[in-house]
Amino acid sequence: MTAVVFVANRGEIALRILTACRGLGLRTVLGVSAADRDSMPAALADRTVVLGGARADRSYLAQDTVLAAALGTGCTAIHPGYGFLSENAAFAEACAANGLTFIGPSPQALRRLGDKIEARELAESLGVPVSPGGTAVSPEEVHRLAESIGYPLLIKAAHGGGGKGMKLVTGPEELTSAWQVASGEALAAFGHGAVFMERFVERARHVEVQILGDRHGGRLHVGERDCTVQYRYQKVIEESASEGLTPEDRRVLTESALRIAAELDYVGLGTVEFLFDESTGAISFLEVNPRLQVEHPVTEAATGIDLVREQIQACLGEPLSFKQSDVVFRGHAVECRITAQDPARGLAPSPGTLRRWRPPRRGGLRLDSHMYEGYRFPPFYDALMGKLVAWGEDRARAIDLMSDALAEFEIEGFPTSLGLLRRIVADPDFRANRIHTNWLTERLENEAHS
Amino acid sequence: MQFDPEDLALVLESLDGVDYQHFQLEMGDLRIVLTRGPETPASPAPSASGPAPDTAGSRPESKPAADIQPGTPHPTAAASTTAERPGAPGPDDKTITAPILGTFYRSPKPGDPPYVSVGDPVETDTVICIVEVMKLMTPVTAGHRGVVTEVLATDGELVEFEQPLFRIGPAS
Repeated sequence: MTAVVFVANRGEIALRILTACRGLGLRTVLGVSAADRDSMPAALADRTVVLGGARADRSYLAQDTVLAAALGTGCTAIHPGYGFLSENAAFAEACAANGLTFIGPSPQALRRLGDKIEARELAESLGVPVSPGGTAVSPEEVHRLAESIGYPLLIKAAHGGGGKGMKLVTGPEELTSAWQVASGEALAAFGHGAVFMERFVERARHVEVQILGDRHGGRLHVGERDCTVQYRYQKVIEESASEGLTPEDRRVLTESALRIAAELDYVGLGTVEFLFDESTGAISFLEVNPRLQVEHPVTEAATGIDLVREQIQACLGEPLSFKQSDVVFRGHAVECRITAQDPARGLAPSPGTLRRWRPPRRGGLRLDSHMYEGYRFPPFYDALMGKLVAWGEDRARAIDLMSDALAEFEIEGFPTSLGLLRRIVADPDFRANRIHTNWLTERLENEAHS
Repeated sequence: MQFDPEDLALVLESLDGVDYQHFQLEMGDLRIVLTRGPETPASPAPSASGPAPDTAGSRPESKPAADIQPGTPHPTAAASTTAERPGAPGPDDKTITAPILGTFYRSPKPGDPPYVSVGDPVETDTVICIVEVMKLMTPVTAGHRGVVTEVLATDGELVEFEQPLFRIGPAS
């Protein structure tokens, strides 16, 4: 029986998934919110159904509505994309209970990875390098643990992720109150108050490994990505490969990622995130994102592998179409996230009507975007407008191409990150790869204060 | 206080289904004005002459033929009562739309007579159908006083959010 895929997402990633399904000859149904009726993905899907109101909890996050829509339109599989229901173990279980294939890893894997304390323990038990950290209950224990880790340290929500709800603690006098505040915020934001702490690495690179598994025990890695350019823990620019790594670093990273994948019988796409301490060279496990990642195109550009196609096929039961030895890395790819955010106002969301959208037209570029002129960018969801990817024989040439491409890009209608991206790719520190995860944040905050 | 997009969504959704022509909300520096009525040519028409970038820049125009089969009929659905379309809608007809996505049922349970049929008088609070989402039944009321003039959806089929279900004409 040929699968019919329900796409439970929106924006550029819905387009990406719909295109991959079409390439596989699979029919698609897209569930949209009332605010996305006139979106580009809605025009591309074989059928589009309106799930509910604009608010995500009434549409993209409404589990029963998504299930009813998928079942009522004859779908056999659900692709959750990223965000929304993609990491929701209960939803993955409900899919299985209703005979729908969830395009992602098993509910058990989602559950173990969704709890960051358990994920840390899992990594540690497999000999994957983990930074000093952990969790405790009584204030005395919390202080003792903090002393053993050393300051500054970070408090994170066990059920958070992606930098949301993190607290930096610079000394013991801040600890008790920060721990309580973080726990309260975690409870409010994620429904779980559990928090843990980890050593704060001041000068770190963010390096992550792409993993892919099938239902026949096939598992491999598709190299690493470097996502060191971040603003307040949100990724801004991603690259493949990570140029500073030694072959030994790379071996530790990929072997660690594959050990985690094997332990979880991992199916589909996943990303194992690490921090690389610039001052000590130490690698430490951060978390696993058990889903398709926003920045997957840089890996596709550097390997020629269609990750979304492989993900869908693997989750539908096909064996992977290639072996580890077939994964060959060529050249360097850079991705810039173009967002409806205003750099002049701390990258606050800046939705509006897109009056002008003229992307650059050059060889070696890829643009994943759901924008069109006249599009009314809704204020209800994330700010991503598109991802521009440039490929070159080496890092310098990829950045040169990106620089030219951003210069040619014309966007009007509301403030966007375009100007900021132009500045970053022209920055001598970025070009020389002398950056760390707080580099952009520090730079912008210094400018704001001066 | 901060007024974020979520709040705006909440305001817009609360106003959905409310009969208004002009709505104004002022909170400090913030001012929101909503008007309903004939389309005003305020915003410029989107340019149709934009270049077509490599992957995705201009709206895809044609939709491939959608031949998705509807899901297997609901096991408890009675012999499907199809939509009743007796005539063109009158100028004072109200269209009742689905408050949520789900399966549309015209009767309380299979085999029962439908809640309402064409020609039946309804009051504002008359239940006219139910919409089911994963075993959860949501009754839908007429919302207007009048007479059912048209049934627009088919019993046992999936209806989308805001899909027209009934037309109700003025009480005779």
